[in-house]
Amino acid sequence: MQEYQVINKIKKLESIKPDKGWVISTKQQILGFELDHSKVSTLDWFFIAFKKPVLVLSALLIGVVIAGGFLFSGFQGTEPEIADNNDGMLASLQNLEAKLGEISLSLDNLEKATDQSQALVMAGIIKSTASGIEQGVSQIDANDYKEQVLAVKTASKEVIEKADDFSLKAIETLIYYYREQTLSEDNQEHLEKLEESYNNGEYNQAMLWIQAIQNNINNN
Amino acid sequence: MGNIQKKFGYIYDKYVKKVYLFVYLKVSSPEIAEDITSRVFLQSWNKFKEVKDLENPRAYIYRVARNEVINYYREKSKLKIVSTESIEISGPEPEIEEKTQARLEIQDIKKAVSLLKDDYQNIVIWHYLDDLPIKEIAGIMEKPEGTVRVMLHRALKDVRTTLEAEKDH
Repeated sequence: MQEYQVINKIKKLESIKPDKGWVISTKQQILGFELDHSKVSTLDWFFIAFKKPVLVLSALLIGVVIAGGFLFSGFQGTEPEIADNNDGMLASLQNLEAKLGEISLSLDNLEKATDQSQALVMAGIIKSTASGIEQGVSQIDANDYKEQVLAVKTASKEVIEKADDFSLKAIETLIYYYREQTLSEDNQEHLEKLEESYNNGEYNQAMLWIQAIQNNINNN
Repeated sequence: MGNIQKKFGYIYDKYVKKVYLFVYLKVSSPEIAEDITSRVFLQSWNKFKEVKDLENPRAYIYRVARNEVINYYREKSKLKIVSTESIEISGPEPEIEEKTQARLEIQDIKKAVSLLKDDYQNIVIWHYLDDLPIKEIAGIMEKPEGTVRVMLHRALKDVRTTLEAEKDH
């Protein structure tokens, strides 16, 4: 047996790999960003009943967008009767905060979605909606609402952070998943670029590569 | 997630499979390999938090892995026994016969590597499975490069002898 044949045989040991689930859960445990499963969302039953977390979240988002639109249009003076009504404004802000809280809890369930690429898109929408709300309420400087505005901003921030954490984990899960699949040549290249973007911390770019891979998979 | 966590996250992603393989080849049990590998990364993470960065994370992690394996054998006073348990092989599903053959071949190689002296094993794994250059291995082992080259050559010779002996049986 030649030396190169021995080396080739040794290289076959590379096929021994740890359990994928263990790799992910160990990382979460070490870095301390495991989910707090003790939190129970009031919306849990929705997810159990429909088993379509994405749909429920979409509905919630519409609610938030409507609530936000209602609030901001009122504040900007197009609906003076609302802006002038302290109770109405406070109620809108409280409603917005409550809905953001529900969405924050619901983000935990997004991890259970079968299609992580779809869940990732949803997390992106949630994040941009929460960012929009955060920016919107920042324009409110009336002293009467100070406390409630701060509460909405805090709730928005929590949703943004959670969406970011979820997105990161979803990207990692998808990378591990794609690595185990037999991919087309195109998708193999996309996967390499996806890993490169991920390693460079370019998560938006990484999401675009995931989209490209998914599009190819769906079209084949 | 903070920046420091993200940074260490990349290091974890990059080396976890390699460290697992390194440990697994030494302890021959997936559960023990997982346990030791977790401890290696936890220890590395604690160090990383303390110093905010690691100059050469790979070298540091392998040093920790090496020490953890030594500790494991020291604490448990266990003998290294080559396991004949099944090994998970990734990649497309081959036919049953091919798969069985592939498993047997891998078991033979694993056995041959496991029979090497500890230092020889480390060099073979690091150089051929982790693509570590001789210079870096020499740094981790605190030995001259020339010595590492000689050890690698001898290790390959030993693996070949064991594999050929297996073939003759």
